[in-house]
Amino acid sequence: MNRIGWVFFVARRYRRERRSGKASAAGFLSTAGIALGVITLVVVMGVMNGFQLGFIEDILEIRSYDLQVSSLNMETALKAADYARSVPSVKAALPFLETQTLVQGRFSDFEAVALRGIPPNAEELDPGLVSQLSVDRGKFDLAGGLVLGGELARALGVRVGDTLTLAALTGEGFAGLVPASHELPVTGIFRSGFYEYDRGLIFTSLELIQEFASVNDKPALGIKLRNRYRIDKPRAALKEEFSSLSGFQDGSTGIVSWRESNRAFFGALRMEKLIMSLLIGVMFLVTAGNIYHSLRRGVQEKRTAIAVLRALGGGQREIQLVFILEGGIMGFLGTFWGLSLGLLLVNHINRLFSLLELLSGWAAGFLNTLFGVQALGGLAITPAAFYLSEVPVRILPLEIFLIAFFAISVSLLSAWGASRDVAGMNPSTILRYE
Amino acid sequence: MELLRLEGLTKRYISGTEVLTILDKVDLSVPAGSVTIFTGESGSGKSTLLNIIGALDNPDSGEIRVDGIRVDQLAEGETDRYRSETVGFVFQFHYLLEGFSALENAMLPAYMRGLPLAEARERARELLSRVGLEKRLDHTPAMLSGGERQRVALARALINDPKLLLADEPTGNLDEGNTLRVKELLFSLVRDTGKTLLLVTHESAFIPEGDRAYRLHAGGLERL
Repeated sequence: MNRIGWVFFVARRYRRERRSGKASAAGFLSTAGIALGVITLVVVMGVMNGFQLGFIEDILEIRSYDLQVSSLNMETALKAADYARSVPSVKAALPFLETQTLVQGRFSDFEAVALRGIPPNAEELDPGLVSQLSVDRGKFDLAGGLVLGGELARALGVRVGDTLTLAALTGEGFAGLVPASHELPVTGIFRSGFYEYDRGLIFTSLELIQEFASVNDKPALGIKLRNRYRIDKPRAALKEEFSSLSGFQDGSTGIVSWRESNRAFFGALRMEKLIMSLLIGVMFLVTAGNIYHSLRRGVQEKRTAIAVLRALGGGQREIQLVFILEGGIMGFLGTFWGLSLGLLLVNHINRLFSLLELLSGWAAGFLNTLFGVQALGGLAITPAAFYLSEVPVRILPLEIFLIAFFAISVSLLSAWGASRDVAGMNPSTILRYE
Repeated sequence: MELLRLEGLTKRYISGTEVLTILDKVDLSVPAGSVTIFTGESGSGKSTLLNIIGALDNPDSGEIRVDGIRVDQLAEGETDRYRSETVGFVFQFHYLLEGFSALENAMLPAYMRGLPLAEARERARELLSRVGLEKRLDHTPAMLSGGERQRVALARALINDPKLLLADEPTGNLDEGNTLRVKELLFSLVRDTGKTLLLVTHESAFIPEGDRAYRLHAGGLERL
């Protein structure tokens, strides 16, 4: 026999009663508090993921790769790349050589940059790299010269077709180092959106870079996986593939994953996200307190009804469940509205920024006309102020699930705390004195 | 056949530094199907006695057996079941749930006991018809008179077909006309269904209706 149906029946009645009674404001505020917390978390997490995953993708697609094998010789690097491409879980494999160099435009000072040489057919071997770089002027032509970041081009005062002077120390050993300089044309300018790369990275071909590299600059192999979050199996497969290569056995550093090579940076990103979640999570504590007090007052107001339900055979836990359900309904409704509004907001956040930019522009113009002051002139409500074309957003379903789970759990926990008053009620005493 | 047996039932309350012995080694045997009336002054322990028999309160010592069940030794879950299945309560104040209709109030104990909702509703409808409230099924307590509320409470107490009905001054809050009507209804329902009734009352008019009557005085029972 079903002994729990009545709990839902009574909870539904009390909820209806509460919605129309004096306690409706407290109930609404509790639900709204949960909704607000969920909205904030969804929006902040969505934008933060957008930034962080954007950074991670920039770093991995452009420079760091998912797996990297350093300190190879050129022949081994080229062979290893061919081997790697035969592994099914590998998306792209690219040998490269990187060195530090000085670069100067016709009318600028020297700038220190990282010069990276990759195969001239990199566009074909690693489409993700070229796509992420987003070459907006010229083309990705490495055989004919240099492809550099937009910020660097601006600092050097060069355009596509101009010539750059590169200076480096080549040779072997400290005593054997000799300065070398070359002039090469700019064939393309990219804008990755990652300032560090746009300001200090130049791509050229493997053949050209060897004229600048010292003996200490060793070629390396960058590998991109189809799923960069599953590293172990492909790494083991690659290790086996590479074991027959003499260069790999001799001097290489082994296969280093992106998590290992960027541990500090990605750790900092994770910590930033955790701290932000905790800070926003505090909002739920305030809401939890609100639900607790609202339901506790409800429990006290229903003392007589609770005593009667006990007299009619209702168990203490079942009666507690009536109030826990009420808190659960508040949490569920708050979560539902919070998720709906939060996802709507985060998916249209760039429209919101455009609107804010427009409004702030109008307000500034209005104040300027009225008072002759640049009142809102310094207000930066535009992604462009943060070196962005738009605010990046990335929604992770697991995070959405966790936010919902957390919000509903907090509500249920507060309701459970409030319902514990039921345990201390003596029906006989209540019915005698009420 | 005996339905209720009390042996050495004692209940004390502490009031400040004073210990009040409300029930002092009370012994009682109640046959099944009988009507037993308890009377006495206010504070003499009548309601306490009923609450202890109904497992709403615990004795300090003594034994309570109802239909062979040791009520004083029941665990918490068993107490709930005992209250749901074996006893029915009618209080001085109706204690109907506000916001619930007469039908819902009356059917709730059956639903709580595990009966399907439709069956519980049907049984409540029948009982409310028997107490003359067939046209008041959807009325909430606020829409009913004092006598009608008490009749709903009576239907609620009987819905699970309990062996023992505990009525604590069921007419204490009613006017003369309603007192008479509720009294007649209570006794006719109890006699028709063969229930055992323990009735606490101040009304001397009830005493001749009972099979036996007791006065609670100084913690003990005096047969009237």
